[in-house]
This record gives sequence, structure tokens and C-alpha cells, in this order.
Amino acid sequence: MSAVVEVRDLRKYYGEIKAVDGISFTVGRGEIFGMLGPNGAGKTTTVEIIEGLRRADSGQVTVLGLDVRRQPDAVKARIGVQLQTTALFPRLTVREVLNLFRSFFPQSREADELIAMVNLQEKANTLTKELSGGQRQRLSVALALVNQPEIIFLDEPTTGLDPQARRSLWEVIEQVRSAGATVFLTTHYMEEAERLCDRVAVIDHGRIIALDSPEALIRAHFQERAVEFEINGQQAASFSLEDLPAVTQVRQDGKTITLYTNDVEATLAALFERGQRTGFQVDALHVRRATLEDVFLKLTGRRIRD
Amino acid sequence: MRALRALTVAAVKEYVRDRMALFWTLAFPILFILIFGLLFSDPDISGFRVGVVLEDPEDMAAAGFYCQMEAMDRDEGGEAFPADDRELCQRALERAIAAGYVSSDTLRLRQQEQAGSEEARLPLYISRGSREEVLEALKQGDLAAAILFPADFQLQMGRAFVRREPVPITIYYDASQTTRAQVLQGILGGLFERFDQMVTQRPRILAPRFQPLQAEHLRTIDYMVPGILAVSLMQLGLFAAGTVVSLRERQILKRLGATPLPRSVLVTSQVLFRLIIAVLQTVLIIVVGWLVFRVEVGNRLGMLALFVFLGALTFIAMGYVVAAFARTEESSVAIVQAIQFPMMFLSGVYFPIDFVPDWMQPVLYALPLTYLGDALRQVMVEASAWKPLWLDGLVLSAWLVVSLTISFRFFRWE
Repeated sequence: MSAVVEVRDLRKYYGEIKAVDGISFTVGRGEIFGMLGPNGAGKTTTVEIIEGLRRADSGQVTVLGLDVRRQPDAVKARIGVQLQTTALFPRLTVREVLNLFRSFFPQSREADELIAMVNLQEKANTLTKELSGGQRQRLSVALALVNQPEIIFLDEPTTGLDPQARRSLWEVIEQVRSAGATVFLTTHYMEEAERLCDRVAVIDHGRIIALDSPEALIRAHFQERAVEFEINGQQAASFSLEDLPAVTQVRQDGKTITLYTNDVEATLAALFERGQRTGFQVDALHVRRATLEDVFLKLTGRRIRD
Repeated sequence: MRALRALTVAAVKEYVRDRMALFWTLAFPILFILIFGLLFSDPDISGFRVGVVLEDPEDMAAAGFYCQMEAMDRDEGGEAFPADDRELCQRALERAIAAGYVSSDTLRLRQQEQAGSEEARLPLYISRGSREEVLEALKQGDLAAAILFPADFQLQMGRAFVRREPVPITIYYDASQTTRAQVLQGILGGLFERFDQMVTQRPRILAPRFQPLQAEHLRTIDYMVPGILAVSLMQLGLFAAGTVVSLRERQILKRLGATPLPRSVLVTSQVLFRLIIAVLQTVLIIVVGWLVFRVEVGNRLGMLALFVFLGALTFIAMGYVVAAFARTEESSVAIVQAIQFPMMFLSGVYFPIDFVPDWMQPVLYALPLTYLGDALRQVMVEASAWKPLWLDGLVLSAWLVVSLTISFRFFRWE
């Protein structure tokens, strides 16, 4: 797998704030690479340096074998970009905006082809200001595809979308990859990273704290299952569950308690037994595999959305 | 080239689909012309309705003068009051001839005048009524003036010959309509001078003719139309600030920056688009000015185009200066208003430059709009120069260069 993006020891400080603090990674051709982290972790800054929109303080960025700092236009001609804000020319139609962007590149896809790729056929002649949030996101993905890019960068493409619009955009992104492009996306949705990404870089405070495929990340940090429930009848904080059999870790988040366990049956039996003995009821119980959310929590001690 | 054309077309399309922008740049100047044209329209002096009151219709001298006026006025019947005075006039004439006041020569003269062309007649519509009727009609504005012949008019005339004292004739008029009143006073003064001659049989020796010094006959609206064009170009240019700031605020500039599109092409397209609208505004304003108020634009179209483009470019550059310092679209609009309103009223575009008080004159001398207005007035309606054209051009160019320098230095793309 040849690398299409190579980042070495990238740094970008804004005064005291270390937005990007020594990041290194490579992205292979044809993969969907995700950068996962909370708001303000440095995702957008990193992506925009790679796209040639910002200058790094130090570090090396090579895109498709080109030095971004020296040949930004050559890079821009071969990549596709979607920014976090997707405001467009409000009084142009979908087709007009696509044709406008096509005029910036020597070679481009036909407007109709692009419209079909993002399923906007019915909105081709609608003004962009009349599009819904999801449709606008799909248009901005289409704009990123105008020049048949070898890499497409999507900065939080599904933020603010309802679940249905999100799923429909995921399908578009998977199609883009099957068409042969490399996809580089940032997100703060765990589910999105797990579902879409071949590899995920978990980023916090401007540093990469883990980088692997989602399954490998979960496997590396949790062999266990997570048992999640709420408690009625007794203050949760007033007793300990850490001594239950097979439990490796206990987390409490408001009313919700999560037990990570190597033996779900043993833990559950002991949990109910203790409930009867000390007088609390277990409610809203479910057992699940560990997720990237759990990994993030373990690595940073915080939930990603806070 | 392809990108430049596409961006310019896109800007024009967005503009055409923006009703607010259309209103402010195209409909508003037209409305302004219509409103100003009607407010400041020069008075109609082609005809005045004048009422005559004969306190005693049997007074032969008074009736004679009235009938004479009736004969010299513009209308063929169709009076303001229903009095049919053919009989009255016939009687007055007969009596005047019998008494020797009117010779048959005068009669012939009168008949000639009557048969004369429409132009030879006085711009008056004479009608007769009672004192109350006539004064009421004057108050209502149906009449421009009322002439009162007293009951003992003939007697007074007789005395005047003996004592060499003139007979006063009261003429009421509406003083609020200054220009009309002045013109009417001139006409009636001339009329009574003529009657005087008729009565005294003295020939007229001196005949003054009034000729304005300037070749131009500019009406207020002729001054207004170039001024409105200048203001429209100023607004068009300054409004560039809002557009650019909103492109920046909504990160469209940033998005375009992620393509290989050169920034120079983007800026050029924005300027080209504004120049296209400037041409549209100019044509529209000239056409409406001509159609509605017959404002004639001379044939110096080359010069006109030069100053329209120079003016538009200067104000677009000033718009970019605003865009360089404004963070949000709202603040750019506020700054633009703070610039354009004082400029509109201090630069002699809507009011003659002399109206601006002395202590403010230095401000006026500094404003680019003053020079654009002056140049457009000279080029469009041949108004007399405030400054020579080359100086107007020079000052505008200086503003253009300074604005460009500032915006190149301080403009931020993000």
C-alpha cells in the first residue's frame, strides 16, 4: 500500500495553544482514513495544513509525492476538499455551482455524473439556499469530487445531520472509495469512524494518542464486554462494584454505570445477587461490545462529546 | 479565462436573483429620478388662468379692457365661469367707437391679432366672474391671478387724464408659487403697458429683450440625473464590501482557495461583474431621464463611459478598503452607510455646491463623489464646469490608487 499522504512531526501553535503538537502518520492509497477526536483537538488544523490552506510552523507534509508548502497549486489540482462550513453561492442552483467549480480545473467530471454520485438528481435545478442540511453536505461532497481527485478530504462531513442523512452520506463516501479515491475524514462520531474507517487516528490536544483499525484499537484496549445499566433505590456512589467477579473496570457517568468484564454471566449473576442483598434494582441493562467510545474514554479519561 | 467567465456569470446570476440588490441598484435610482423630477419640476408657464372682476359691467372702460384681454387670450370659449360676454363686448366696443376712445385702426389691429397665430396670443386664459367667485377660485388654486376693475373705473380714467395720476388696478395673485408669480407679473405688466399705449396713443420707443448669458437652459432635473447616476455608481462600488465580506464570512473564499483558482481571477470577476451592473445602471438612468423628463444626454459618450468606469472602479476600490477592515457583513454595511450618507449630501450631487456652508467646503473638496458628479454633469448635460474635466479625472484616479494601495495592504482572505 503506497502512501498518498505523509505527515512528519507536524506542529502548529497559536500563541500558547498547541493546536497541532508533533503529529506523524501516513495514509495509504485507497483507504478510508479517519481522524477522530473531540472539538478543538486539532483535527481541522491538521487537515487544512495538508490541504495547503494553512502553513505549519514546522514539520513535513507530502501529498501524492508533492511538498504541499512548495507546490500548493499542484496539490490542489489533484485533491478534493470539503470544509466544515458548507455555505455556497446561495442563489446558484446545484448544477450551476458544480459547473462553476468545474471551470477551475482543466479536467473535470460532468455535472450530471457528479449529481448522480451524490443522489441529488431531483435537486439539480434547486438554489443551494433551498437545500436541506444533508443535501448541502452531499453537494459539498460533489464539489470535492469535481476534479476526479485522487484524495478527498472531508472535514466533519456529517456534523449536524439527522441519522438518516448521515447514513445516506456514508453510502456516498463508500462509493467514492470504491471508485478508487482515497478518503481522509475527520469526525467526532465514534459510530462513524467504526463504520467507515479502515484506520483511525485518535487525536487529543494536538497529539495522536492511538492509530490503528477500529477493531484493532478496541481489541488492544478491551478484551472485555461492557455491561451498562442504571440503578434505582440506592445512591450509586455509596457502594462499590469493583469487587464483582471478572470486572476489570467501573465507570460512572451520571446515572449510568458501565462495568467492563471478562465474564458477562458471572458478573451479571453477582450484580443481581448484590442488588437483592443491598436493596437496589438494576434498570435499563444491556450488554455490548466495547466501542471506540470506550477506547477514547480509557485513553483520555473523558467522553468525546464533552 | 474559462474560470473568469464562469465566475462573472455566476456573480451576475446571483445578483439578478437577489431582489434586494436589484431594488437598491436599479429600481431605487429610478424612483429617485421620478420623485426628484416631480418635486423639483419647473413650473408650467405655458398658460395662466386669470379671473377678471367687473364691479360694474356697464362701466364701458373696464368692459373694454376685459374684452380686449378676452380677445388676446388663448382659449376659444370654454371659460371658467359660464358668463357669455359676447353681447357685453359688442356693446362696449360700439360705445367706445361712438365715444371716440377706440379708432377703427385699433379695431383692425385687434382683428389682426385675433387672426394671428397661436404664438402671438398671450399665455392667458381670461374669464370673468363676480368678486366672490373669482377670489374663491384664486384661493382654491383654480386661478393664478384676479384683476379687479373698480365700479367707477371710467370716471377715474377720465380724472387721470386731467390730473396725470395713474389709475391703480388691483391684481391678486398666489405668492407661494414664486416662479409662476414672477412670470405672470411680467406678462400682466406688459399687457397693461400695452393698454396704456393704446389709451395714450404714445409709441413705444425702448424695447428691452432679455437674453440669458449661458447658452445652457438647465432645469433642476437636468442637474439631478447626472447626480443620481454618480450616487448610484458610488453605492454600487461601496456595496462590493458587503459581498466580499460575506464571501469571506461564509468561508466561500476559503473554499475557493482550496482549488487551483488564482485569487486575481476571483477579484477580477467581482470587479467585472460590478462594471457590467454600472453600465446597466447608466443606460437605465439615461433612458428613464430622457423618456420621462426629456433630459438630453449629449454626444460625448466616450467621455461618459470613461467617467462611469473610473467612478465605478474608484468606489469599488473603496468598497474593498471597507472589506479589509470589516469583520462581519453587518459591520461592513454600517461602515458603508457611514461613508455614503455624508458623501451624498456634502458633495453637491443633490444640491448645488454653493449651498454647502463655507466651513464645510474643505470636506467637499476632498470627496471623490463631488468630482464624479461634476464630471458627469459636464459630460452628460453640458453643465458649466466646477473643475475642469482633467482635474475631476485626476482626483478620482488619486482616490482609486490610494484605495487600491490600502486594500492590497490590509485585505484579509480569512
